[in-house]
Amino acid sequence: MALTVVLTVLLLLFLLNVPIAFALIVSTAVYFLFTDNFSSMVLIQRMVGGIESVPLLAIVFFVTAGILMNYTGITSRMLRFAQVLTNRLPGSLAQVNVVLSTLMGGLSGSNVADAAMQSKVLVPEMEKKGYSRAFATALTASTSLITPIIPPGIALIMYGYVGNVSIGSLFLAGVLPGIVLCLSFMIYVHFYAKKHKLETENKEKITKKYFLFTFKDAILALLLPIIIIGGIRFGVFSATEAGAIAVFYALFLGLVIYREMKMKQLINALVETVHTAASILIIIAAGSAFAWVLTLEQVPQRMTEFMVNYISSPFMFFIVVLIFLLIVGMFIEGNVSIIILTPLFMPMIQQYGIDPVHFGIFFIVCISIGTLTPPLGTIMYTTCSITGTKVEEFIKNSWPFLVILIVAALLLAFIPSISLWLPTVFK
Amino acid sequence: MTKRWFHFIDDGISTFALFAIILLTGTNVFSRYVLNKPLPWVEEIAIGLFVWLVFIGISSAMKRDSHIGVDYFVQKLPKPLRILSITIRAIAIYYVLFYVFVYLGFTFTAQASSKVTPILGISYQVINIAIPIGGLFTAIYFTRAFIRSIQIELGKEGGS
Amino acid sequence: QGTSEESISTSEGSTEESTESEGTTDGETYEINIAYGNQPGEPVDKLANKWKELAAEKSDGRIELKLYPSSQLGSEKDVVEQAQMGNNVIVMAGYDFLMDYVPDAGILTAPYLVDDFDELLYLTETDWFEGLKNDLNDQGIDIVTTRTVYGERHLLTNEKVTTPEELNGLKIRVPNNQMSIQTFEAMGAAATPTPLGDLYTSLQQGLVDGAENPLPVLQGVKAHEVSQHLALTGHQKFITSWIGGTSFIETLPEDIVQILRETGDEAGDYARAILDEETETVMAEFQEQGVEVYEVDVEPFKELVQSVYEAFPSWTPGLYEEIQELLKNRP
Ligand code: NA
Ligand code: NA
Repeated sequence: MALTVVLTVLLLLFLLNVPIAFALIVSTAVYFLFTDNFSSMVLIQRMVGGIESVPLLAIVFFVTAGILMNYTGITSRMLRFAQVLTNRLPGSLAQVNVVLSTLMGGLSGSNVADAAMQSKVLVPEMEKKGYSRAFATALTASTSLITPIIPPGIALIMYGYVGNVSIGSLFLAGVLPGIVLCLSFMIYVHFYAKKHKLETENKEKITKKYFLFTFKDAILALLLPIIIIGGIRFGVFSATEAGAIAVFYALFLGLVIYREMKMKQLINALVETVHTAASILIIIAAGSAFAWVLTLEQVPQRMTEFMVNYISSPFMFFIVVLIFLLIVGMFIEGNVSIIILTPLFMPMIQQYGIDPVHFGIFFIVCISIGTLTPPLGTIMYTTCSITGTKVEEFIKNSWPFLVILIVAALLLAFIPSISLWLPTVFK
Repeated sequence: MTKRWFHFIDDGISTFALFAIILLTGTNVFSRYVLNKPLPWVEEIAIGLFVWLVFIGISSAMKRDSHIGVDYFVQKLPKPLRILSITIRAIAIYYVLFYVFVYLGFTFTAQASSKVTPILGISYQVINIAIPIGGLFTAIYFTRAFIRSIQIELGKEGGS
Repeated sequence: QGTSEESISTSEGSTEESTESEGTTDGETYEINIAYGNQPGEPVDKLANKWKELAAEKSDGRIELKLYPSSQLGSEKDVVEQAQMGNNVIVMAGYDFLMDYVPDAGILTAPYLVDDFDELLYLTETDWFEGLKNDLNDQGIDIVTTRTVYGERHLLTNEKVTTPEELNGLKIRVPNNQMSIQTFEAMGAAATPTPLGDLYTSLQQGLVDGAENPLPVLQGVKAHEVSQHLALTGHQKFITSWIGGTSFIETLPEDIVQILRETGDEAGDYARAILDEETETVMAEFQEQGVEVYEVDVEPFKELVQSVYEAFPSWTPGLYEEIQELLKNRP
């Protein structure tokens, strides 16, 4: 009963454009009106308790690092390098779009940031080369889903934190799936470009000198994910501290090597970080309080019992979860889903004997797919509003990408070694 | 008109917290790995600053309207309903800011007198007071934005 | 315009806050939330389940304990606070945590304080402990039961460590509390507080060189797969208490509280036997999986930790001597 009211209030406020964190807080506060067992002050305590955690510091660090990339000139060097890499392929600018998301994946943890940046930088260029705006936008939106899977990723950190799964292992586990996604998109783009005769003419060969020049510039930035994984692997720092190291490294590149950043820009970057990070973290705080209510009402146990009663095989479990997450993703922002759903899934995957690292990668991919579809896909809206694309046009162009992503999710579900191979090798 | 410095006080506090967290964490890596001397107190200071960063940062985010929400359905409403929805939205936000953050947050802070951090024994009151303070800042910036959005809505109506 | 709404919301707030639970009448069922940090299946979880069963039985079903393992309701610190605020929850709390409320409680977790668990449990039956209970009561905390044996803490390391010289400078993962940190600093290690959940990877990657905990806990996080040298230092013998808020306990009828306390003690004794069994099983499993187990001469360690007894200025002066006196005069 109480739970029904809570969910109704949440949905209502959500539809009325109340910021999701505030909607979660109000609906949780409503729950406390119904219970004699706990006083409303616990609501505040669970919010603070939800963010008083070392792993979550990593989110701030990686948001800082990601924003610094743009201010320090790292992003523009990555773009140039991606152009050099894909120069000879048909549809090279579309390929740049795919490769850049993959390269940036090693530096940034957020797909929204990646999608927004590339919508501004790449989509107008692609239009000039003859791509339709809707295709360019759909491509940008879809490929941005690679970014959070490749370490570091905010979603990986949050799943690891909430589910008590090793973030170091999750980081390693994301590498191959990220590359698989990248290659799948590249193959599709290749055929799309050939069919639509986009940038298929013979292009000037890139000189060795120019290649080395861009490579030298990019190599330092490309070292970052290697430093992160290596540093964690060899016990120099923890997964959280890796975030702080990433910030120092970005500063080092920006201030000492590339020398593109000034003090004023540094301060701007930090201020930008603060409000970007706060808007994510307050959702985590509010989501923790909301999840606490679900726990108190023993929703995870009840759902697990229900699932286990009706679905006996892990195979069917993955299919059901995939469909469920596709639907959830259409309505709820990815980070919110992770906070609320991870505690629900943990007892289930234990029942089915599924490795939590394996499930985590699958989970994050599935929950991201819904962000590309109506009614409330966050990535779809972000990219469409930046490029000025009509949602109907976006949908027409995005279905092949959705197919690729769903097939990829199924592969991840049924070939566990795609995600688990690297963590095992590095044990 | 609010004073210029006031306009940046929330940004200033939360940016300082961010800066200090990064610096402290980096120092700890250095101290542990290079000097073999872990600094056990870094964690609790970093977490305390983190709470400040988040709760004061809510205000910075409100000022820039970067709290994540969905205006898809509201955009489709006819004008009178849209004004109603803006009002309900504002009530929900004020409820959170004044009742939850300021009132509950302050009561919560006040009762935490014997709760201290494990190593340095810092009172949690020092950490938790960020909640009502953040609530107040956010309320001020939200009020300005709210008045502006009502004016725009009314202006639109007058115009059409 | 903004200000009028301000006052509306605040006044709404103040009427709401009075929904605290009031005294209740007899004959009805009492649902009580029980929280602890351990995972299902661990001895503490078995204790809680036994408690639930015993309480239901003895009260003819009037007491229904709802169990929340795995820190589901929050960290130890947070749920202790929830209890203190008077919410419906009883939580397992170590004396290292209660120390924040009443400093003297911390001595029960001091290194090499006693020779066996019976001595520790005896201390909880003394007038000295009665005094602690009263002080905690003043802070809004009611100790419901004290007879929970958590385990004896040993040292598990990547390299062989049996002497303070070998321990010197090694990074040992400890829980984030003063007592553990002081203890390991005193023994010459670099105490490194990190979350228990990260222990496996921290050991594997060399972020820390070793860890310490009761054996079932070390086994629970699979630390022995990485670190294969176990020194039976027994540096701390850990008992824990289960606490509720005084204002919550006062809402319960006297007989219900009585049953809770008795069945809690009973469940504690039951779980102690389980812990012993479990520790033996784990020891066998460790050896089977290649862990080297060393008997340790604890005297040099004991000497080093003497400084810990002086390290807490908030303790009543002469507390350590008082405890030793109590133990000496134990009947
Ligand atoms: Na892209
Ligand atoms: Na990433």
